[in-house]
Amino acid sequence: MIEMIEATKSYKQTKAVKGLNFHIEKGEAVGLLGPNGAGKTTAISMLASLIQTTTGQVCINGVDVRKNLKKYRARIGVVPQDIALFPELTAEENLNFFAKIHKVSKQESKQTIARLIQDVGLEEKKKEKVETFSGGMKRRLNLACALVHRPEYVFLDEPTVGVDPQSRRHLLDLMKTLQQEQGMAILYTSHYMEEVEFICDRLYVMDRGEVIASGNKEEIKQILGSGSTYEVHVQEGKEKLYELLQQEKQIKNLVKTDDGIIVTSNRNPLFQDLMHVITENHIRVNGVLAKESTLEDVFLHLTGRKLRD
Amino acid sequence: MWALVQKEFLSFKATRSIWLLLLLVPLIVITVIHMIGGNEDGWQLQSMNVAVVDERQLDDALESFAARHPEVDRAILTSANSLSLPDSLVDGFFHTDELADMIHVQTYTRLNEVDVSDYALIISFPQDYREMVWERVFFDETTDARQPEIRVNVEVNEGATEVAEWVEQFIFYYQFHVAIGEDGAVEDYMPAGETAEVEYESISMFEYSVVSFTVFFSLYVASTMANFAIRDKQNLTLDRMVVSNVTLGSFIGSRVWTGTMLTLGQLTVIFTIAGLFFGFKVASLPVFILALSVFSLAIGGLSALIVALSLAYGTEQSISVISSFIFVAMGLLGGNFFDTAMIAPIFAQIGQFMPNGSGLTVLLQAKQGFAIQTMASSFVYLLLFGIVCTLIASALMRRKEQRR
Ligand SMILES: Nc1ncnc2c1ncn2[C@@H]1O[C@H](COP(=O)(O)OP(=O)(O)O)[C@@H](O)[C@H]1O
Ligand SMILES: [Mg+2]
Repeated sequence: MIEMIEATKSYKQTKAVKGLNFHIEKGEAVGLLGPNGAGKTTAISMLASLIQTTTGQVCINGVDVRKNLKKYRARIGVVPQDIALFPELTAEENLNFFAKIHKVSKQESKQTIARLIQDVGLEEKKKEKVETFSGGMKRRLNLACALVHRPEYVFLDEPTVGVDPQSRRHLLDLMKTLQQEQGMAILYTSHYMEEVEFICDRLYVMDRGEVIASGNKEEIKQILGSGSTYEVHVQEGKEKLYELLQQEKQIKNLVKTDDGIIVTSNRNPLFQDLMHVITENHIRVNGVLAKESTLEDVFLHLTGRKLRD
Repeated sequence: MWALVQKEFLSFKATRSIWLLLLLVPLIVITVIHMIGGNEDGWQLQSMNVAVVDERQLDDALESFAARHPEVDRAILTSANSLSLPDSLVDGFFHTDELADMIHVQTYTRLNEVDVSDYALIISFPQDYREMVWERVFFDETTDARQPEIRVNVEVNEGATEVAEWVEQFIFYYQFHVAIGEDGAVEDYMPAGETAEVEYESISMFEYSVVSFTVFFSLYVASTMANFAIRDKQNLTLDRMVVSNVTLGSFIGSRVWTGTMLTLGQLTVIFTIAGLFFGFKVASLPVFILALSVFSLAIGGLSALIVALSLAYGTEQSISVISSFIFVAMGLLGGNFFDTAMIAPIFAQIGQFMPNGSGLTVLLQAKQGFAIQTMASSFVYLLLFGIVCTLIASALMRRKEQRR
């Protein structure tokens, strides 16, 4: 188990991470969600021992990783948010290099690398220089390079940005397989909620350097309670409706969107009350849609922000 | 560490522009110098007739000298024997490997016996020339010795001026650099502050240029590696290496080795080509290779230092500033473009502290076949230079690591 205990990271002006606590069990898939600037990359960098914590610590099985950094680094694999590859080398040379500095034996690395190249679908491109690759291909290689030494824990920082939908699906399947069949623990950061839902069992929601919610997917969704959510598309009178709804006691949460308001209540039925307010006050709406609660809603509810902004 | 060295070589292989800078440019420079030199030194290809007019023979001079100085003992006479410039010129200088094939010397006792149109060069010694030199050397008498006369006949041979200059240098050297030791034996000595390069002996201008420009371009190995390091930092692979368990020691060590190997490779290629196509010869290959290796190690250390400096403070721009200004300044001081001692000896002395300056000296000495003992201090200096650079580089990198 790897855990972060009260970890903070301060830069001159900002506190990027404030007292972060979380853990990843062996073989587990954990998601880390948060809007831009929430501190996800900073958290992963500390976890990856790339930067030091200002205060707090990172432990593996209860022992501070600084005690034996070398051993710790041999057990983790890091897929950085920005592509970190040698553009002047070929895909195969990149993989070979990272295998070698991890001191993977020749035989083993030969097998692993051949397998990985296939897994990320770079078979035909393996002898070509990375600088000729498309963004998606670089992403795939970026991932493969973190796996050459078969780490027990892999930290992925938004690994699918800029990958075309088809190969994204492919990568997600690969990660799921690695986790389920080889017992590789995964810490996954993404903007894409559906990816996190697909891969992760448990997740942390971060905002402004802090964890604001955590638990498994169902627990997180329950933050919204058993109430219901409606999306009101307003043609005219959005501000007025917002003010009126604020006075309604049973409404738990209100979020303005571009063309309307998302309304969440604690108890059912909300629909009749909502329609009542709209018709009484002559507000012109284009439609009222009932919504399933999603992680995105939870996120909206917790932070007042959309994930992708 | 070897994985890192190997990666640097792969990067090197993949970056064509580097080949251009490290190999092609110096080779072009050398070829151009060779072509220019070849035109000027056209005489080298043609044989040349030289007349030496010596009105008196060595024996006569000795006799007359002994008669005038009865107090002189045998030992000094023996020394005097080997201190005879006209004889050294004919039997020694014109007999060296380089000149013997091309220059045909005819001796005369009277100037009017010489058919002027036959000879490109006529060197005539005054009758009492030997005795005058001996008097100055043995008794410190500063008589106004008449100088030998050198007549140049360019119409006979274009190279006449060239050879005349060489002969003048030889005479100059003989008059001022030869003295009598305490035991009465003849000694060559060098005035203090000059390096032991004896240009006229066997180093031609072209050979000097081959060595000095090659040494100069070796500095660019260091800046090349710094550029690679900056590139690795920018494309974040440096961070990735840290997370992948690359230690500080192996990082620095790999830079030193890569720098050393690249330099050694570069030097070997250039000198081999110079040897195959331009007749560049070295007196002793093993000593020359030793000198190359020691110099390469110094550049390896320098590479590690410049890599560490650019990772700590540098940008791509600062590296190009280093390579265009500092290296050229180093090249000037180190005598890579011309012999700096010609301007002021102090420059040459400062230059000897630059790896390129002392590298140049060592390589020239090795080329000429100097004894290793003579070069030992330069070897030690170069090695120390490499080690000190490596240590500073390690300290810089360590400080950087702690700031993460
Ligand atoms: N090296 C740094 N120096 C100063 N501020 C930084 C540095 N790295 C990150 N930050 C700040 O820390 C906050 C969190 O950034 P980051 O961890 O990259 O967020 P995320 O990955 O969730 O988008 C941001 O406000 C960012 O500006
Ligand atoms: Mg980030």
